[in-house]
Amino acid sequence: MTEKLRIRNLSVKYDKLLVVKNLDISIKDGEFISLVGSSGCGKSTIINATAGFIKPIKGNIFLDNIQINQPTQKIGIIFQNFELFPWKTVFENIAFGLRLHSTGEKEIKKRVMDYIKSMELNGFENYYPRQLSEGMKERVGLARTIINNPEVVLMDEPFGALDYLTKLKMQNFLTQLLGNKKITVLLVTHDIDEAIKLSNKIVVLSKRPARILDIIPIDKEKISTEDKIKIRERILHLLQNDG
Amino acid sequence: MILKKLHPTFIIFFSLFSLITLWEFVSRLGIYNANLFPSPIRVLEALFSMVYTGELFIDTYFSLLRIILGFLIGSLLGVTLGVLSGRIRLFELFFGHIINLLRPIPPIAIVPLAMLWFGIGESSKVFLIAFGVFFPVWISTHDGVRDVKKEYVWSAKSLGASDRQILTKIILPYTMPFIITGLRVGIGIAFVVLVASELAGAYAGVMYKVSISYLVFRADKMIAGLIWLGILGYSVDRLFVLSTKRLIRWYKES
Ligand SMILES: Nc1ncnc2c1ncn2[C@@H]1O[C@H](COP(=O)(O)OP(=O)(O)OP(=O)(O)O)[C@@H](O)[C@H]1O
Ligand SMILES: [Mg+2]
Repeated sequence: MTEKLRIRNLSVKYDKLLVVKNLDISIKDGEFISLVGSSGCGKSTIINATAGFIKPIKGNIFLDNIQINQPTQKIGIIFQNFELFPWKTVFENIAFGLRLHSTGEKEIKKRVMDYIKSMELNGFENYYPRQLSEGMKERVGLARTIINNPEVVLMDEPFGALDYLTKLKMQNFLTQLLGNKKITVLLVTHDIDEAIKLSNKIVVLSKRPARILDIIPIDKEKISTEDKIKIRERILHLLQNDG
Repeated sequence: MILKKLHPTFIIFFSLFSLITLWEFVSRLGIYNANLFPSPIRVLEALFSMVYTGELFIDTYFSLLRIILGFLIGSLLGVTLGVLSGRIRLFELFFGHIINLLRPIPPIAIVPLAMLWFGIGESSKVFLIAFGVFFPVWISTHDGVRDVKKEYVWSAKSLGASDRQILTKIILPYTMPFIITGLRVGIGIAFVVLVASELAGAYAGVMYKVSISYLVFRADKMIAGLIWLGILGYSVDRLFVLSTKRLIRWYKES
């Protein structure tokens, strides 16, 4: 597998606060990588710098070996609070990316309705975000990003605000959406079970400034419940004994 | 059921009716000179005569034209500068303090200066109204632009939006309720400034008519003019609210 996304020697500072220091992460094409780490260690900062939203003081981001300096359509983003556009309806939120590139109205309608169906949002097309439940907002957010066909998706604790059952449902939606699309994913989560369930690799981060404590590969096909428990223990141990 | 449905409209009409009845009653008591405190009927007659002679239309035309022109200029400048100062730090540093220094000066206070500069013709009035409308529109636009969450801008960028599209598809729609609030405040100010500028000198206008009626002791015409001014202000405000409703539907609490 070829390298899809590379975070190289990344350092990020807010004023005087060093939040990320010399971070290196390499993600292969189609891989699903999770970042776990304690609160405030710099996970969101890593995501925002990778997406090109904030400028690092040092280091680069490469997509397909090409350096990127600003946000690009090839890298989609999903924030913790979904950040749906409150002035747009469900339909228009999902259609946002398509409309930017003047796709024909018929085509837009067809594609958006496909997503609305698969996200089980039928009948809510004309609702505004404030009229939706958290789980529904999340699905709109996922659809808005995925419909734009990004090659990489960065997710910052996308399911953090959901209750347990909704979270399980959303994880299934995500798996279904990514399905055969071969999208590369970098997921930030504080839920270790979620990381084990969804990813091929878990990157465990230290306290601020974030450095890599360990990288744990996961063979989703072969992994046993026992292995899962062991991995869980190992991650907990790393996080608790750090610093 | 039916009574309940009629309720609000009924109360509104009843309150108006009571006010007019009270007014008619007091004027009939004859305590006050009927020329200085005319009855509602006489005021209505004065209004009709002003319609009949056509002067009401001419005065209304001039007053509204001043309002519309001043409002357009003031609000266009307000929105433009508000977006610039809200988005561009350098711009805010450069202009922010100058604007804030001018802001506490009530527009009425510069009426004499505007007359001196532009004469008593239309330009001084349009200038004054534009000046008055500018500040609330600028401030609310600026605040609205500042309020845009960076995550909205980031989401749009990662979906492929250009800088221009960020402006037209994120900043402006998000700021719309703020702008509309500022514009509505601006309409109120525009009427205040209109009145002051027409009092200071004009050739036509609703408030001008009131002021020259004063010179000939026509209290009936004065009151008719004032009521008409009230109706105008109310209608413009209603019209504005109704026509902007659709733009901010998303913003209203359900
Ligand atoms: N815009 C900012 N300006 C200044 N400091 C910031 C900013 N954003 C984050 N920080 C600081 O950087 C550090 C890392 O923040 P970040 O949001 O990346 O952590 P995180 O790992 O995502 O935490 P959490 O798990 O709670 O979301 C924190 O100490 C935070 O106070
Ligand atoms: Mg975070």
